Amino acid sequence: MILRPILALIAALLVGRAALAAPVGTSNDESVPPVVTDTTKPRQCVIAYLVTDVATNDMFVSRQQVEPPKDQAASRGRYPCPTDVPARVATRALEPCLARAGDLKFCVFGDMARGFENRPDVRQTAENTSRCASDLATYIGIACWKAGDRDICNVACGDTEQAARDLARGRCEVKQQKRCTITGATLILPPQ
Amino acid sequence: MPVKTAPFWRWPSTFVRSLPVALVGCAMACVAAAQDASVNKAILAPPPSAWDRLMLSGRPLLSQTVSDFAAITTGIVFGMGPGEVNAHMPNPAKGISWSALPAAAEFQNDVRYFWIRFEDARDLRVGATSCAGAESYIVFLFQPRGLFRISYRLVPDVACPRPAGAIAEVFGRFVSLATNIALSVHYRAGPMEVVDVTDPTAGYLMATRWQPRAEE
Repeated sequence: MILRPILALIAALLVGRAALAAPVGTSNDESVPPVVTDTTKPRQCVIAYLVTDVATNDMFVSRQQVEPPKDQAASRGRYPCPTDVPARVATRALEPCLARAGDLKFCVFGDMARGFENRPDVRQTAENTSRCASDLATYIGIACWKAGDRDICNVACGDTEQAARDLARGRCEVKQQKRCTITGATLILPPQ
Repeated sequence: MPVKTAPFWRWPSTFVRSLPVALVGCAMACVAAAQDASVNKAILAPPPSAWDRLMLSGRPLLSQTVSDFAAITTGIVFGMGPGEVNAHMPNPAKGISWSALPAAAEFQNDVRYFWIRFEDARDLRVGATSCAGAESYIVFLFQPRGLFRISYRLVPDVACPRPAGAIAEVFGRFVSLATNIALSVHYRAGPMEVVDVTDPTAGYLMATRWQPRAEE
């Protein structure tokens, strides 16, 4: 009976100390909060390409981040991407594959023409339909069918992973006139 | 009292007529379901590039160091001698030294090597969980100034006829490194899947690819 009020007093004191243990700024200026983490900082534009080594079927996402123009406003937490993408960016996008492939001639863009399996050449692929921009979509997706050992693929952009896969599959099945059951998708923006 | 079943020619004619249709329909549905079964395609993520606002020049977005490489290879870095690399093995072998190592025949220079089985490599499997073939192995290649290549060679067998999944897992881990830290290359050598991870300062040795000899 005597212990109960003593325990209650100790508990009250502990609660009081905990309340005092809030973050305390080191600055004397009380208008400055102690810790500021800007989780809403807009992400810069990223143009993601899918490029592939057709000898090994390795698929690479080649992300190209573009600095926003001065005075450009962000929308929905993202800076807009340029509407015209120079050819040198597409050439650069192939580099992750070119540096890592056993044979350079097997590096192509992920969006392939019908009949690519008969003419496996970069000219039978399209760079502009192999890319997605971060201001218009969140995921880049791929869908492929197998011609022997080789994956024949098409690319699409989507707001969700499933949407990107489904859109790529639809595009592949219309373009290739095959069932495109091999699918994949990844984020356009790199993980922070 | 046993129940007698009527012979099939006495079954109701509509049921008998519909049976083949039902069987064919079921078979077609099964084939369609098998064809629709989606297979996941891995997408490898090399380090991104950054462009200026006019998109005139691009550069690597990330700044990586040799520590990023060492984090994948359990502390092994290019330039280490055979003894140092051996000390990082899950089961270090005795008597590993430059003079005791065999020569690597695919190089014209004095290049020597030792190897370990992939299934014994523990953390050097770099997280690969797919099947890899029991004869798969990892080779450590040295020039006189130290380690310059780690070569993953996955050999298919009856239990694992396609080690493509495991090689994609290994390759994907090294692809995340910038090419000025480690240059990883994936290729096929006969039935084998190979990933060479090479020191980018190794000069002309970088271009040499391994091919199995006819008797292997």
